Amino acid sequence: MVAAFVPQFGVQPVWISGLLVLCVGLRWWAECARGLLVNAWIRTPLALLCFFAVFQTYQTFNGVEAGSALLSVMAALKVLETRKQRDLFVLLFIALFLVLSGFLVEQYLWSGPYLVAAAACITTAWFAASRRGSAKSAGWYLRHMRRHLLLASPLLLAMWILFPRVPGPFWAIPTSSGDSFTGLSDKISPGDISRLSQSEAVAFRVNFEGATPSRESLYWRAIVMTKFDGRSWAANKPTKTVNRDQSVLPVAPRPTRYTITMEPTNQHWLFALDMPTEWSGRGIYRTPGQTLQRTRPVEKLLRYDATSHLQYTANTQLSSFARRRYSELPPNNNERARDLGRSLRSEYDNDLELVNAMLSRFRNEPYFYTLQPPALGRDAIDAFLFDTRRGFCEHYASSFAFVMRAAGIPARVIAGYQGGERNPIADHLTVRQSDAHAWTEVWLPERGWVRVDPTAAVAPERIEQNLDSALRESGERSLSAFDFQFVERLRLAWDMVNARWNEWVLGYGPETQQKFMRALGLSDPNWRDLTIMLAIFLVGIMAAVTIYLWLIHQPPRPDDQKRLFLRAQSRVGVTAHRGETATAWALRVSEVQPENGLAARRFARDFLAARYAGNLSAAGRLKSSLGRMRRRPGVRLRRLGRRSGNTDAS
Amino acid sequence: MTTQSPNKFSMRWRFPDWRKPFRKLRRAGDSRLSRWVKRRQGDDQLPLTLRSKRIYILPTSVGVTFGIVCLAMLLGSMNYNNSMGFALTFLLVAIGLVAMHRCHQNLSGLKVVSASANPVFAGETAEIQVRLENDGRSERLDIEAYVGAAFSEASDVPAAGTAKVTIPLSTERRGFAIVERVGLRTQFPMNLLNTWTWMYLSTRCVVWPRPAVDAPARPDTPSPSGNKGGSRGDDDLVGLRDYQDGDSPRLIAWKTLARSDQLKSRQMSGGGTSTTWLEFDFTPPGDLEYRLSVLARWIIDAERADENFGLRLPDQEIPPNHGLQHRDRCLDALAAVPPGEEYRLA
Repeated sequence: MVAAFVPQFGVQPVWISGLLVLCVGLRWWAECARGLLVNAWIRTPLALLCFFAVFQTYQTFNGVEAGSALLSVMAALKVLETRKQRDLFVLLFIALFLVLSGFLVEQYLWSGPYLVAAAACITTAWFAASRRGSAKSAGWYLRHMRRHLLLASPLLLAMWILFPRVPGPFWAIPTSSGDSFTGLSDKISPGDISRLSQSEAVAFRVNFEGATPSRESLYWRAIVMTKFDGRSWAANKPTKTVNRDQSVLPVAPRPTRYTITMEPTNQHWLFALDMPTEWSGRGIYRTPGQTLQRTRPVEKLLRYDATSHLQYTANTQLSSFARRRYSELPPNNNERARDLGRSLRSEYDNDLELVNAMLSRFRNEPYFYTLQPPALGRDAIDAFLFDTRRGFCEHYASSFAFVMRAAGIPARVIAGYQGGERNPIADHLTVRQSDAHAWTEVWLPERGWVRVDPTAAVAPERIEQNLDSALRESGERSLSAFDFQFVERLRLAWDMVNARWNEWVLGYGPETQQKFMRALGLSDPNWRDLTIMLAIFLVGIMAAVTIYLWLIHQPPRPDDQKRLFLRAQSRVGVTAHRGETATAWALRVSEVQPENGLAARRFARDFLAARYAGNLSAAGRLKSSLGRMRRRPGVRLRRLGRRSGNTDAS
Repeated sequence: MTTQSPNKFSMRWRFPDWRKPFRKLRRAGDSRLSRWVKRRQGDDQLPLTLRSKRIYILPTSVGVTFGIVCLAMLLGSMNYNNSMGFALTFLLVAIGLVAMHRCHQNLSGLKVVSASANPVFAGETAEIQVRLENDGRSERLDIEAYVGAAFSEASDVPAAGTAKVTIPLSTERRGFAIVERVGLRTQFPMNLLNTWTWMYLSTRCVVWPRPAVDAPARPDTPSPSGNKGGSRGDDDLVGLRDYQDGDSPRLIAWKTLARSDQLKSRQMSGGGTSTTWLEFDFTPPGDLEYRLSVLARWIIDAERADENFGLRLPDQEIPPNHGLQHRDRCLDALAAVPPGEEYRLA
């Protein structure tokens, strides 16, 4: 019962957890020390008070959090008044709903073990609650629970794989409020990404179909920032657009296909390699900025397939409206940077040469790449470009885009991730928050949008290797720097476990199911086929379960006793000679191993009675007397894990 | 786990019984079902082994709730497309399905050896004793026997063992109570499903007349031997003889038994030869049942006093004898006095 509350403890206000502990304690006291059960005159106002408090805390009864808080309160109070068997069942049902609501709030790797543990606890409690005859020991219920869950597990597996997964919500889901996720935001101010780069949290994982592209080309675009307000770059409101326009044209016909498993962000944007040309998944579309977005925010693990072309041209034509938008700068700030742009313009006619000139400025003048950039004043771009000259990728990207716009070249800042860590064990790429990156795109006539990464000009190691090595060059180190190979391997293995769990459990949805079915050689089964298959499997498994249950209720066979005798021999390490009776064997055992003598003689007596006189109760005793024989030290167990006395007939 | 003791302080407010119409419906369905089952199975002979053909299974109210909860969870999981929610739901469904099979197998294959009832006085609680035998390797748990709404306590039949379950039944009228249908049920392991079987055994329970409390004094009738009943000599021990069935335990020579392991009865002077006739005609005229009650009281008293007594009824005469067996025989005769007929219990 208590197990159901465990995940709630972290989530809910302290007072609910306190109430629960208090109620269970009171009940315990009432049960053990004959304390008073709290009577209804106290319980009813208490319940009303608690409901009111829940409403006060959440301002609603609707939604997952408030709902589960309400359930917790109800469960806590129910503990107080539980008296009849019916109350116990009500409590167990509440516990089930609590477990479910725990999953609705969040799902992790530990959700799996937690589910098993919670199911074990609740089933055991259920067995105890529904027992009619004389009460049994906790071990007895646990044994029955174990057998029950073992029998149930194949059914669970069949339903898990074959139950037709239907995409999409049927009714509006109340969005969880105030959930903050680490990750990008649709606005970049200096210092945002350097803060993010301290986090080792996984942003997404990528499985490439075929070879992984080289590191320098792994630019995962997520958000296109077009608006500059004097300090920060921000994205436009997500706009739905022509789904498959001709804005991106592949240069070389070599597509890169991959599957991304992304962690929940509560945001609309998805990640795609520069530039996405094809994608699959419900509600996913491409924005005018060539990023992928989803109509619903990504509230839980999401898997989608995408195809990108690493060599491309994008938007070779730019409308005058778009041109104006991408060159727009707010007046009255960063005047020095504006002047820089104007002077570059007067110096270079060719846009490309202008871009290169700005890049060589970053490369040749003393600019530094650092995680701890100094604070910048009001005119952040000016301060960075001309005074501090120390910054992280967002400083370089935003100031570069600013200067380009000042020079009249359409430019935009792209936020996303760069690179990723290849996990050779699992053969996937793990992209972490620390890989967050910002770069720019400038629009050149004839060539369209061209990616320009000013950070690469300052710290090429950042792009070629990763943040760690880039910072090492500059004498800094980020938080995670594992140098030990063993630890490194362990970390990669753990990453793989997480990825597999995400892929096959948390992310198992309509798409994965279809994929799995295809892998099994079934071409695109629809939900009807799946239902039929599920029915066939369920009937088959249940038939097996029935046969097993029927078998264990059959009278013992003579062979059983013979097998038990053989097991007894191997257990004590004394083998019966050919033609030796069980009694003679037992006598020999008592000579060699006096501590096993009694058990062996008893076993022999029951063996004879069961085998030759058909004495059923003696047959029933055989197993327990076998358990009473002590294993001879040094004898290797033939069957590990098969402990003595695990029969239920005790 | 539960404490059944009523709470002194509990509020005396009852929720309107919304289940009443359901119960009515259920009872109607039950009797229909019973008739159908009876047609299907016919009368049963003991001993019998319960096979799937005669085992029925339906969800209990907890089971129905469980099903609804599973459905709700499934809808919720589908809506949120929540993987762990699916896992939990499927696990619950799997647990329910396994519970169904375990419940069924728990009863299937059980042997019913006998069902019998000891005679009782009207108004007392009769006990239908059902003997169960399990020759399997696994124990069978939480088996309950029932007649109508009267249930025995749940008991376990150990592996390769036997168990006896007792159904308490209240009797009202003198005569022969016929228990037409004895049910066996189990809701093991999770109370989700009710597996049951009905056996049409027509078990007979003799219901003796309730002994009258205010019975008139037992008449002293002249016995054929001339001696007066009740004037038994004061424990004059005549000698010992071999124990015969029906001898009162009070006559057993316990000391001799302890000494020599031989069961002997003491022979008393006088008592052995005095004979009383208990006659229907001696009872106060009036209501037949009352007269039989008086007779029952006399019989009991006579046996307690360890007398030789005979019984004379309008249509029957039981020669004088003594002992418990004789008493029971006489009481059986009272139960059978017309219109002491067979009637159905439950």
